[in-house]
Amino acid sequence: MQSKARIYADPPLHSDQFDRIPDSIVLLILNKVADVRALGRCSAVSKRFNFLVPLVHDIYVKIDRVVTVDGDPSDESLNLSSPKPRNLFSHLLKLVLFTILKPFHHLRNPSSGNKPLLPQLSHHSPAQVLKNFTQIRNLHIELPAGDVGTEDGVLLRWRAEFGSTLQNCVILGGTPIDRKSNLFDQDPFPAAEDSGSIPESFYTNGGLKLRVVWTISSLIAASTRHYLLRPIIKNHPTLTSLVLTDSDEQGTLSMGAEQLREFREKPLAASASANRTQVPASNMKLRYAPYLELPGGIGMQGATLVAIRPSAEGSSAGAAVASSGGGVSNGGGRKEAEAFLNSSFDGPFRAAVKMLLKRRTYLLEMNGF
Amino acid sequence: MASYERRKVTLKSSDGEEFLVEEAVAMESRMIRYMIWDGLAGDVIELPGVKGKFLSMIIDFCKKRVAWAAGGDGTLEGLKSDFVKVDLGTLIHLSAASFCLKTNDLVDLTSQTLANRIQGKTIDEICRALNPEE
Repeated sequence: MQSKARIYADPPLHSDQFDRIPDSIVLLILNKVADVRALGRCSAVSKRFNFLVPLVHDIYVKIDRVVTVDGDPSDESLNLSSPKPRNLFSHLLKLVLFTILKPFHHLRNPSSGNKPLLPQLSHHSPAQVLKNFTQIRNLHIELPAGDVGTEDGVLLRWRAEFGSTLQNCVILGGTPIDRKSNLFDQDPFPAAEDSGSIPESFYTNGGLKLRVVWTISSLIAASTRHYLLRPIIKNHPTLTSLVLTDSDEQGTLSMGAEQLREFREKPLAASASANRTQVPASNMKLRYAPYLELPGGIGMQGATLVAIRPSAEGSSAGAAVASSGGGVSNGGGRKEAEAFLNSSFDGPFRAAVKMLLKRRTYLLEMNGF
Repeated sequence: MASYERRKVTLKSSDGEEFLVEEAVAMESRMIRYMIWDGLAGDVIELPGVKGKFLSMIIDFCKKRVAWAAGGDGTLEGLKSDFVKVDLGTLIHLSAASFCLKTNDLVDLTSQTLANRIQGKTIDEICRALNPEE
């Protein structure tokens, strides 16, 4: 090790000083930057940064807007404010491009003087934007909004895990109300009515039908997101964690290392419409409470928890029976399933899941679609 | 063993500055700690990878942290945020120095702070701050 004694003047930082910072530090910092647009800017700062940025492991992509491709005359008019799930899905199904500032647009090119100084808004898919990164391990993509439209005041949250296909999904839905401003002086659903079972009114007033719609909509949203990830998974064999969320915090799709490996090894089954992954035949466990008191001063009306798992092949646990207690399930997977449910949501919704898990379970069977 | 906390050791930076510190403070650096445990350290420990200016700042932080852990007042968060109230260039050097000394939480702290600062800046701002080679 050299032991020259040198005395430096105080800042500014000279380039030879900066060179002494090892690459591992620069990479450490770039990994914490994570945001793909900021990284794009960094790659234009110096040759060295330009070399290091593509090696970053942890990347976060925030998508500003979602646009559709031109030209298909059979497009329905897309009304994003419509609460009907179907319109939103055809919108998603035709989705190809995303609007995102192209991160590598800023590479300085002194020879072409007419390059604009301001970044241009151009359409690029996440797969294109990520193309230059060769070592991604942890990828988090955030969509601008949730995919499932619901009626005013209704809250819907879903979380799904996928390998080649759906492995696990949990959906929580209901109408949150502010307990403090509750117009009723008493509990709107007196305890006497709440025997733990689903009341008859649930079936007659459209409650069950609505929840089936929530469930199917969420599964379509999840499987569409999964299908959209194909090129990214294909182009980045170093991926060990992939998470796709939205800024409304409605839905979370996640794939871990094992699941990504399964995806690569087993071919993908696309559904008939070929724009989303096939949802396999599944067992659904539904739990319902007309009213829940949650921590933080809120309550939830019509709280529903639906837990979905693909049916085991040849399992005899498939009859659509209203069962009590824990329902029918294979013993080994049960602890994992419960752990998944308990950790899926945060805050008051985690408490809601806990409360709903204590209620009676209704088992439903669903074909693949 | 009780007397070892009082032992002092001299840390010598790459530009020849010397700092006399208590062993307990010096051992906040994992690198120095392992040298001492393995019996490889004399009375003077040379640190060719770290300049005096930055070594002094890190030693100062470690002194304060040891004092805080022994029941001083203030918060660790406060100590940390004071440590990073420096310009970008200094922050980079502190990050490299922490890495060299293996004071891991300082590495995390400085690199996260740097990342946060880079996040919001335009290319020109980053360039000006780092003044890299062209």
